[in-house]
Amino acid sequence: MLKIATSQIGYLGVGMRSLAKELGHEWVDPQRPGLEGLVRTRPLSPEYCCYPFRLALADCLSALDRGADTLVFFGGKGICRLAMYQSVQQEILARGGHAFEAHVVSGDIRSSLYGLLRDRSPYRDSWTYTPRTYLGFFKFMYKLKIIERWRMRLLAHRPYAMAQDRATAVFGQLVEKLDHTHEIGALSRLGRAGLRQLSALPANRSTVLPRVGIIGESYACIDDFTNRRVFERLNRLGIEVQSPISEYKFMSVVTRLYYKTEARRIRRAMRFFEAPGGGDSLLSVAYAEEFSRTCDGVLHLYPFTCLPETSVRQVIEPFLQRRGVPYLSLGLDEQTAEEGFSTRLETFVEVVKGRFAKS
Amino acid sequence: MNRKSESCCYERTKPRTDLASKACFTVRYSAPKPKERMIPRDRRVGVPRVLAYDELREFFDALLEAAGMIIAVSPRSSKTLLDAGAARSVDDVCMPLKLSFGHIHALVQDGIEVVLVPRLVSVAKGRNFCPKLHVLPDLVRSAFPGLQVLAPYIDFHHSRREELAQHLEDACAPMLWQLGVPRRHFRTLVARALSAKTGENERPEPTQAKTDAPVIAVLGHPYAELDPLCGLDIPRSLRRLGARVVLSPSQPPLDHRGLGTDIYYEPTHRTARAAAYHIASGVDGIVLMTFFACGPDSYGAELLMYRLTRLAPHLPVLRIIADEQSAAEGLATRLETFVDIVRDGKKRRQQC
Repeated sequence: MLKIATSQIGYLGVGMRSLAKELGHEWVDPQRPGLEGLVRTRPLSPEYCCYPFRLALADCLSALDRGADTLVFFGGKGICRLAMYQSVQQEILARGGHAFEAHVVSGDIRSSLYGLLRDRSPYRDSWTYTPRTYLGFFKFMYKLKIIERWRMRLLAHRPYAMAQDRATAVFGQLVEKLDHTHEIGALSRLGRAGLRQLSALPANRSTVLPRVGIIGESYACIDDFTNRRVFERLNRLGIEVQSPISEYKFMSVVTRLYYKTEARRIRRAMRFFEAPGGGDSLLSVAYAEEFSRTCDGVLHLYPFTCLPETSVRQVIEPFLQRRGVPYLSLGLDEQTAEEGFSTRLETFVEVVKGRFAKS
Repeated sequence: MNRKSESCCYERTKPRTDLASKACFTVRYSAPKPKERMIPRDRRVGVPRVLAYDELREFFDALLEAAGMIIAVSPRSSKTLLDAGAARSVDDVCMPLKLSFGHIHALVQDGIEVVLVPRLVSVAKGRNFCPKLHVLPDLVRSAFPGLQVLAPYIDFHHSRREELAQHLEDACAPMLWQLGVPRRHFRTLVARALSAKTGENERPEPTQAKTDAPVIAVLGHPYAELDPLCGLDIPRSLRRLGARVVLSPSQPPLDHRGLGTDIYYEPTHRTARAAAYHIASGVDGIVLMTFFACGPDSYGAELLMYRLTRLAPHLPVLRIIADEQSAAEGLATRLETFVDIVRDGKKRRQQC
């Protein structure tokens, strides 16, 4: 049995726990990224690496401290720098004297993990191993889908809720419960119950609130620590938030399912970018174009110096300016100052509200 | 068709199975079919003297001249151009990209209507360029509304062709059509341009330094080595300090001695190959030029540094990270110190 860990993005670990359990391994939850982790990784990381790299490294270190013996890295080759993380992280961890087994997953994640984790699985000689792999992946993706549905409901409901903190707390409790549920039937029931619970929270829908669409890099959009709870802050400022990015979609990108479903949007984005610019760039452009029609403002989140998203910024800034849509772009890293961040956000919200009032 | 040839054919055409292939279902890896001609009234085509200019100059100059165009090259890089470029670009991109916007700005100021900005995706199977170069023509279109951009789509990795020369023929076809060249002349023109390309870029001649002068390799992206503004004029500064400077060979040998493993960005991989080549030829020190916010180098150069420490533990390596705020005094001090270290190391080795 292996003690597996990988770097986190949002609530990815909730799904990974079921997958590891199904394959007969133990999932080690790293401590969620915080300033302590960053203080530890900053001197180890390359000087101008992107922010998610440092957070991912902090996850790896934290998991190793908690007893993980196997780290799974997503790698291979790519357009964006993400695929190069694993080489540098492995090098840094090895230089730090950490003992671990490294598995690099690239391409078809299902086949890669199937082969990599089989040797040490207690079910390796059993006929059940293959069905267990498929079941594990199904549960993994299903859990992420449930979280995505809950988050969508939360984003639609929270700005109107009488007690917004209560809504956030309910969401947190539901995710906690989901983390320890592994049966498919129970997952399904919990998913439906969670949606009902979120909808049942008292709300005041007498006024319509302006709506902001959030686009950008997956990590910056999903991870609350990275984006400084920007979704919650916007809700608190009386803004309804729409965001297409979730852990489920992130994993669908890695498992190559997503672009089948988003084909129309990708084709639309290719009017702006005639080549795939890596990462989430095509989707960011596609959603910026869509939100310019359906929302009152567009907020762009990305890790500072993110290669694909800076290109996106160069293209969508003039485009949204021409359309007269309020736009704010926030490059995030650990040096993002709280005061500057909130001032910019508040000013943006005022502009959005002004435009909404005029329309 | 027998079984073997079927499998070969499949190998050649099957989609990539790495992270980049996530978009392979819906995106295309070639230029869209051009809709309108792009013939400039004065027949002048602007070519920015930046990024891959030195590497592609011979080929594209010959091609454009054969197509009956007059080539207007932007002036040499200067602080003024950099400032103009920085004003046109977003703030968190690397210096060479800002500089390229400055060059295009200069061409626009000169009355140029059509510029050549190749879409550089890949020139070798399995390796690609920085994502910003993939979309550079789109960024230029966005920053300079109304400017017409000729953008040959050079993506050899996704091409079914086996030779880069054959792929260049495909990549340049839409551009030649836009310039009004009859289709029947495409192949001849590209062949003529390829024969004009000697493969040897213009490299500064080594100075007549003393034979006991330390040999220092200055490695980095081609424009970091050749453009004095981008590269902070490091080769000249080193020569002034009495060192003999060598640059990357234009086509470094493919053997990278493990330095380039897992580095899939072409410029950094090329630097790794050049480093391996120079270490084998016995240089006394290496200056590694990188840029702030450069994606390929942020991890690639780091890996290279780790591996250089292992491969040649006693070789002094200086890594310079350049941006538009790099101060000349600080750089001069670092270079002087470095040359002293290299010289001492060389003396010690000779005594041994």
